[in-house]
Amino acid sequence: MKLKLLAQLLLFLTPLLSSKVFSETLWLDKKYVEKRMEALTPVKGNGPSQWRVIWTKEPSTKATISWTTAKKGSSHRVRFGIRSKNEFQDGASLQDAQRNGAYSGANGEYYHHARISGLKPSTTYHFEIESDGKKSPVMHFTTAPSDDRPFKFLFGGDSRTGIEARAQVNLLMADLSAKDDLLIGFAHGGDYIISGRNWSQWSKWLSQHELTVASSGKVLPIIPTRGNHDGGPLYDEIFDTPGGSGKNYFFTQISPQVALVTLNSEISAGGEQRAWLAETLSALRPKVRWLLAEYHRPAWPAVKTPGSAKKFWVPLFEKFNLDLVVESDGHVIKRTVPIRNEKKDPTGIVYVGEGGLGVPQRIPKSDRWYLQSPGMTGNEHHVMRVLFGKEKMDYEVILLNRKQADHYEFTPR
Amino acid sequence: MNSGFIWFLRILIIIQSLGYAAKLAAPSALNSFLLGSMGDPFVTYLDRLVQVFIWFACAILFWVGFLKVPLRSFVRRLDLSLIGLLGVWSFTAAIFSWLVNPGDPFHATDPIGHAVRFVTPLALILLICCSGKGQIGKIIWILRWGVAGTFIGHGLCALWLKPSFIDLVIGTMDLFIGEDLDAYSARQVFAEAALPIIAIQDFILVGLLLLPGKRIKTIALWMAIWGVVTALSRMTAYGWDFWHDLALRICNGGVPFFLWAYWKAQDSTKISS
Repeated sequence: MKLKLLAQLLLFLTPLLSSKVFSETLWLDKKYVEKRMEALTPVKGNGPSQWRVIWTKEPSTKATISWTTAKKGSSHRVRFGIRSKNEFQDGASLQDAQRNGAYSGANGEYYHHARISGLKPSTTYHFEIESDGKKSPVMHFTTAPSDDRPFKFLFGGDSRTGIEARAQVNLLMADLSAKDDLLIGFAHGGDYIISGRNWSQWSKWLSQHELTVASSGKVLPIIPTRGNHDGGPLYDEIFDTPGGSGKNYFFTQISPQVALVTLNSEISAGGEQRAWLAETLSALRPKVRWLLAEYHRPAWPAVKTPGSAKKFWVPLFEKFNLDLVVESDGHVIKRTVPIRNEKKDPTGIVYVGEGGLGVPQRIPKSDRWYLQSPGMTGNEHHVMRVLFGKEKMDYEVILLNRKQADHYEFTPR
Repeated sequence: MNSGFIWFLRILIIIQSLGYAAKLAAPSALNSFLLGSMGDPFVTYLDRLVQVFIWFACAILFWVGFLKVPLRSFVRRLDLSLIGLLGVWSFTAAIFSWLVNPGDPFHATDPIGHAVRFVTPLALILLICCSGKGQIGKIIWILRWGVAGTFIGHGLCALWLKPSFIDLVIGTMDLFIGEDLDAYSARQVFAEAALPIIAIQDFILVGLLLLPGKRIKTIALWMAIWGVVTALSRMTAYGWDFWHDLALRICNGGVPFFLWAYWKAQDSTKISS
């Protein structure tokens, strides 16, 4: 009798419990993901689609709002400003797209980049894209701070190949963004798609990027990094040539105390880029509390062999005592022990990564010395989230099921 | 053909294969190609299996080198099969390196640039099986085309300023001249100026190596020296840890050296007779 009652209770509770679990991680349900993918804004006619906000150098006052149209069109602009009660305060500002052109190898699709400046720091800006009278939904992003207030950033790489998994991670990012006002941006570590010269692959990635937009319309501005699969002109056409043509390396002063140096591991590491890196780190280190670098091919890989970053950049990271280095390419989760002079050293540099935004995951070579405890490895789709505070920098790895796969606290040097 | 020459090619293949085995500490191109469809751990086990096979094959190849076994014996058949499979792995690595990097112009040269790596095992099999004088001439031509392919592939990468080549030049300069913050940019400028000249040199060497009816020993010797120097640059730029990058390129210089030595020996025989 008791057993029967228990069975009935379980029968009643199971759907309740599962609906509770799935309501927090809807993207784990494949049908939900398919439905969301079907609802993406199509690249059609002269209406805007594939919108993204790009940050490079000064995210507290500048941003680039970019989008795609399927026709060349004649008028492409962004209306932006601070809104309250669904109205733009003091009217909206208008910015015509300064750069327009046809995507290389596309079927007549066009890119548009509206570079907006003079923004107020730590301010939420709403924007609406308009191409030949057709408008996007009103979306918003928050500029980076000009003071020492805490904020969060997402990091991750390798969103290629696993189309459905990529959509799932995007939905996770949207959810994290929606629930957290401190989360203001996202740094992608490269390898967005398989072939950087293939427009249809990029087009799919761009359309799916819409899934990172929260239901409130909150957009996470992206800081792009070029990966080994992102060769060709489309990368620059999509992200408005971040860091300059043929370079794609730059630093982002996210706040007065936080700087992210984005490097390009797909061009020469040892020449001009190394000279620039030395100069940049020398200038930034005395000014900021948290100094980070990001690039694609790892110096301390969890699967592959080291890239040229190890020889040319690591000595500079150690000289200027970087606080965290973010790598991609390996398709695993990793956090190294602090490394200095090729040895574990409490004063050394911690390297994290290595790409889990959708790409199939590999088995890490966890026997490598620099991945031993207190370092870690894993292999699941994930995104990294970093809180930049005054007393600590809080690093964590979040899996698709929202569980935390890794957590580490850094104190200022 | 003198058995010493056959031994030389055998040793080249063993060294090259050990380089491939060491390189399998990282995922192979085949592994990357299959990752999406087969997933890990399958692809890791596949790499591991290939690695163990290469070690086993190298040991057998070395051992058989000391034996005088008839062509139709089991040991010789095993020997030839293993050489063939090592060649197949070199070819597979080159093809999949191209396939997993679609649209990348540098990786697209791999099937040509790696030619000498899979042509050498083929030439060794033919030399063991067909020892007739007419056939040897044809086999030598196969090797000449393999070397030509490798120099063309590398020449194209140099002409297109492959970033890793620029870094090989800079890294090597760091070693011999010393690291100098003020010189990093200038070294890149130097490397970018030198690489197209190197490319032209590579193409001229190929033209001279493939001249019909001619066999210029000096060209073969220069290609041998240049092949070794460029293969060594992986270590001069990045250190001893990269010994496998030298090992798997051993044929780049080794096969031109073989051609030089073989032609020299032929000339000496003619003079003495």
